[in-house]
Amino acid sequence: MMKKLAILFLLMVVPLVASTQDTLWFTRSGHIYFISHTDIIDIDANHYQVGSFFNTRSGELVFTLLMKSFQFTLPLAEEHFNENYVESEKYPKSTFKGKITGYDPDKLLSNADYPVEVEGDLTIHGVTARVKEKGIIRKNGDEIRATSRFNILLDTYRIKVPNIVADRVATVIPIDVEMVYKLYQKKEGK
Amino acid sequence: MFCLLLLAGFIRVSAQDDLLGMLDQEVKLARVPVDATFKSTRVINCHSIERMQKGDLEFHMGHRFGLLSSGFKDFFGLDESGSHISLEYGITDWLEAGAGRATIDEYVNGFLKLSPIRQSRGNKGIPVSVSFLAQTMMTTKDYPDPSWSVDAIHRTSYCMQMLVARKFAPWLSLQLSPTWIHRNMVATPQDPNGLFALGFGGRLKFTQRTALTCEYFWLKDRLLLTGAPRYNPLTIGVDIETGSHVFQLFVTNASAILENGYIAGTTDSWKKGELHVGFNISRVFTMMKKK
Repeated sequence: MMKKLAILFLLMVVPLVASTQDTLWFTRSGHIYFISHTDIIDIDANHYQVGSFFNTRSGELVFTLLMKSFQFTLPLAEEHFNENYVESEKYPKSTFKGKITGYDPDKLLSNADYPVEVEGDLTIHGVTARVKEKGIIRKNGDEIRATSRFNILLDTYRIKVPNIVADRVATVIPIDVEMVYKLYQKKEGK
Repeated sequence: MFCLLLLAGFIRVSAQDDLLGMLDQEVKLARVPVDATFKSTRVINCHSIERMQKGDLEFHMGHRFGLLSSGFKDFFGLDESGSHISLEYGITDWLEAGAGRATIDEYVNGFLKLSPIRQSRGNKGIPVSVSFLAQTMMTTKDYPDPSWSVDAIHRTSYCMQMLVARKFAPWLSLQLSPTWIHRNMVATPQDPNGLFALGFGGRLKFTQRTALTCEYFWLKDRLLLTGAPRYNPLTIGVDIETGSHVFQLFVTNASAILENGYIAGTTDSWKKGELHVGFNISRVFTMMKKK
């Protein structure tokens, strides 16, 4: 009796789990670039280890990254960024959790650009702000590509720039996001 | 059995709901090196585990004034001073070379600093950073009697240091610095050529850009040294950081700047109020951008 019930349960649960997995897309090597542009100096950095899930059924998107893993063109800027600006030891991660507004899964299958608007909570430096930004998703064969360019204000995330370097650090930082998702497989790469 | 399965199934389904939590599981914390254990390549007098990264050039300037107790006549030591300037370059991220010149006893010095172990957090973290310093110092001063032709070998001293530091928290870093100094020529046959010292250093950050620093050296055979009595050097100061500059302002009983001087040759004492004001200025220039 117990065994039968268990099998019955498995029969019910397994397809459920499998079906949600079909709609989950994943990357652990997303790319984010930002630049602080001033007349005196450009400070820019790349991050190649952004983790992200995209649920193609619900339009949900989550991102996470380690602040310490930004690679700066200027090595000294990297230390200042972590130590003095974003306080990476206190706030090691930056995350985003949100959703595509008015999401329509059918538009994703068309193998063409799908312009979207994503709304959600962006957390940087321990401060969470509600953001709404535009982006583009596109499905190409077995991958989904998502890109976005948006600005953040340092003020929003309480990242302070001391007066003495105020003319060297921009207050508005443009951010480029480029994700290439593959269909999620549990225990990937093990 | 059934309950267990139900539970497992439930956990699984609820984990799916929390995508961000799932992402944390999937993207395991990578090992990240700990930055800024010290903000300068010096704790104060002593070298810190920090080094220039590849392609960075540091211009380092140290200044020690005369005795504070000299009073107004010498303007609290400002009239008299010893200084040291040096250039230090990051050949790779783990190897730094430097050369400098000190006014006290007209020393020239050169060193290599190897930094093979970096403290890191996360998956398989490393608890401490370790750097090794190998330094050669040579005096170019004329000896009192010109008939003493002292050759370069006898004018030379060496210093080997193992620097071990840990950043315990963003606001607290400590360093232990076992030191071996070898002087090729000493004052009398009774003076040991080789000296062992143990250094202790610390940094206590109290605002985003300022920190309290402290440094002490215990010189094992200080009582065996002939001439004026030697004291263990104790230095207390503040670090002030402004962009690519670090200023270190401090009070110390050591007036020399190089290792054989401040560790083996400090003849002033805190107890007697024989103190000096000093400062270091460090400016880093990026000579080579990454990629």
